[in-house]
Amino acid sequence: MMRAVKMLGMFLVLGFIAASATLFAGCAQSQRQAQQPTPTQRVVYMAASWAHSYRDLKSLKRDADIAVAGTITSVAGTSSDTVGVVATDFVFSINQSIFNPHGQALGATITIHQTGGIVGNTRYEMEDDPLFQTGEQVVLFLHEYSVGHYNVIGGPTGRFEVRNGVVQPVTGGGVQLASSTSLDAFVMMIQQA
Amino acid sequence: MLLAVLIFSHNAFAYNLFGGRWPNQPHRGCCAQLSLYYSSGLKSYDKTGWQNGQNAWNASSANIVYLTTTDTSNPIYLQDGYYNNVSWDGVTYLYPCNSCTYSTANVVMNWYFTGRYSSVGSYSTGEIQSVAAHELGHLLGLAHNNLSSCVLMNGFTDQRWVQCQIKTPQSDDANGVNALY
Repeated sequence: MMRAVKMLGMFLVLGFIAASATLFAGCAQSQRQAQQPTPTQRVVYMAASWAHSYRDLKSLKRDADIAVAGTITSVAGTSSDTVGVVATDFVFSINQSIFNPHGQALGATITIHQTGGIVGNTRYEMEDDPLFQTGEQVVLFLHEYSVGHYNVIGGPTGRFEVRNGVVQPVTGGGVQLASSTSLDAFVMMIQQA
Repeated sequence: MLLAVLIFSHNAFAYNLFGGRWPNQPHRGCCAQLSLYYSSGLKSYDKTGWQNGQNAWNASSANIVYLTTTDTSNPIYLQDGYYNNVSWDGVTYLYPCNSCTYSTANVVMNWYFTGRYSSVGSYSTGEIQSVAAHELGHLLGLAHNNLSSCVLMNGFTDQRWVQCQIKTPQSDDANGVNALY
């Protein structure tokens, strides 16, 4: 009898763990995919002329106010102006301040402004600068255009993705990195540039 | 020999296309005709830039003639705006998508850069034309070609203009248009 009760209890605990894991995985997945196109979404790709490109870390440091590593955590808002330009403010959680030459007081989160966004059932996205996704880990070289509000310098050349601890540029036209560059190694490269 | 063939064939098709085009236009030969509506609120330097970009395409070997219209219902709008929180100096929206048959387009110049408000430095008349002509290339269905710095469809103004002084369509850009129209 006691053995049957123990077995039942064990099944209940295992079942709870499995259900919780599925639930949390589902939440994380849906959060990561919040900015990804859905089958019914209309996608309008925008094509830009970028004012400046950066092919080395020294140039990025010369023009950036800060360089940070962290995670896009949520969308603060999306707007469209009278000219028709769509833009989104993302909440960015700072994990590491890599470069901060002016000693800016950085909070735990900052706002990142990006052209593009989702309005109704239409997704506006730059041809070579994909919309940030919630949950995305990145290293960004940023310009502060108002207190606490930033945009990436050099379009896609000031943005680097971190996947499974490996850093890669989002475009082939900027800084080139070895395919196995770790975040720690990249941080060191930035600091030494 | 093989290397030479590879290099030449690569250069011949370096342009990139979005996959879409404007409807009711010839597929070959001179010339497709598209009308541009200049927004009434344009800064004078941006308007001059758009005009110079338009003239540059019309003088090129590309099978395109850009016309000007005052019809406010025209599907192609040339505009400008002030955006100090972006790193682009021009942008093109093609509707319903850039790989579709186009129905409308919105082309925007950013006078944070062209109007000399940026710390990056002032834009000359030639540089503004370089941005305008580049965006008018997107309008036709051309995507970026970053393999070469010295073509109009290179996506970066510092490479296209500051480094190469490109403000008119090059043969590769014209070849891309002539593959469409």
